[in-house]
Amino acid sequence: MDIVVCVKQIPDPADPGELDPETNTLKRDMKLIMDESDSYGVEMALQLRDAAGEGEVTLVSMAPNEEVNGLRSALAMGADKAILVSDQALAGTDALGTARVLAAAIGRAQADLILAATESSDGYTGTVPEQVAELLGLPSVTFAKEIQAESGEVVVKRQTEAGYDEVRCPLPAVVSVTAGVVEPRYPSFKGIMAAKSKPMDQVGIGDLGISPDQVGWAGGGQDITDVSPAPEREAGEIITDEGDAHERIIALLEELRIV
Amino acid sequence: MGTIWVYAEESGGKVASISLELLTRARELADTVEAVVGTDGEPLAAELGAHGATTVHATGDLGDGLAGPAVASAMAAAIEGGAAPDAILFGTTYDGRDVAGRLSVKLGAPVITNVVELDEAGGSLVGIEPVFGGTVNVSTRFSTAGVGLFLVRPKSFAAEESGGGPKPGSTP
Repeated sequence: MDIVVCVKQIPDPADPGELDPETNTLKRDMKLIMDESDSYGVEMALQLRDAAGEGEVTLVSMAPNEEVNGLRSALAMGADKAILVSDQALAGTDALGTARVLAAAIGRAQADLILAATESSDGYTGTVPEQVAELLGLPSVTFAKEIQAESGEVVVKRQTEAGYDEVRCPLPAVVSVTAGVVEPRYPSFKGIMAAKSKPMDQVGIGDLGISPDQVGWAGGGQDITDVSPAPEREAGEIITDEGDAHERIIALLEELRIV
Repeated sequence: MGTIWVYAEESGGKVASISLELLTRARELADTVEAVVGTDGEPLAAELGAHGATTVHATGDLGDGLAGPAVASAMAAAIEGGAAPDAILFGTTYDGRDVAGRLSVKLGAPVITNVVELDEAGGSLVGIEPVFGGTVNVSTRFSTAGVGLFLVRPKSFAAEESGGGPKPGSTP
């Protein structure tokens, strides 16, 4: 079973984020790491590949600055090879532009199944997997909490507001996975050493037939009109119980639209 | 603002609360609010009408199929056929994200996501998105012509009936 996993390389979430004052887009010109959300897709792919007993796991990522650090982490977990789309023109690309680039890159790989996280930890639009599926003309199942591969199809438990639906989907397909679909492994020392020599295919957007005006912030068709500090949080209210505290707390929760 | 469509979801035989929240805000912003549902429209029409939808576009029962491709195809076909909503609002839900993502590709239009407030400025809708743990608000609007797609977080608005009574009209 050949599986492609979309892997995003993001700034370390432990570092405070910053907006580029010129473009108002998130600064990503520092060392990037693999988004933890993607480690679940990588692990799922490794388990499905190993259960099938054949096939390869190919990583696909895009970054403006030739970053491979996050991809090396996923290769160290056990993925077989990686395709990195790197191009200065990609800085500031929105979700639809990202999906166009990923779909074109996925087209260079063999894939029975394409896995992605439900959303990235730094952009969290949550639309890219479905956009990739539409661009590739493939069926998709989003928000998978369990995946089983059967002959020519996957059976997915898809999270819903009420619990989950069991969805059968013919392959090839795009599936987005939630955190918790599997427990990601830690790379072994052997895996880390092996990752250094695994194939890494680096391409530019021109190699994918994408022109610079389709990507980057200018290709996104959006304007940021304002960036301002959110209003300060107001001090909390202390409710002294005079026999009616529960009613006042419920009234407050209703006012906040929590219940 | 002319017309806003709201992707209205069903939950337990009723209209989902996120969809009622979106209808409530949409009718403050637009002259005409229309609902699009990925199931039979009839059982939901009265509640949608009571919250401001003047027309309910319904795909009919989707059987066991997921909403994303079916509803996005129906919306794209309606727009290709001449319907011209200025904006479409989706809840940030499992199905809302699927429909918005599929439709985004079909229309070649980006989506403004994680919106917690919508405002009108200079004739266009602006979506406000909190970043960095809610410490900074970023306002974004579309710079190109065409329908604007917005994914709005639940509980961003209070759902209220319009007070005008139900006024459903169903188009198949």
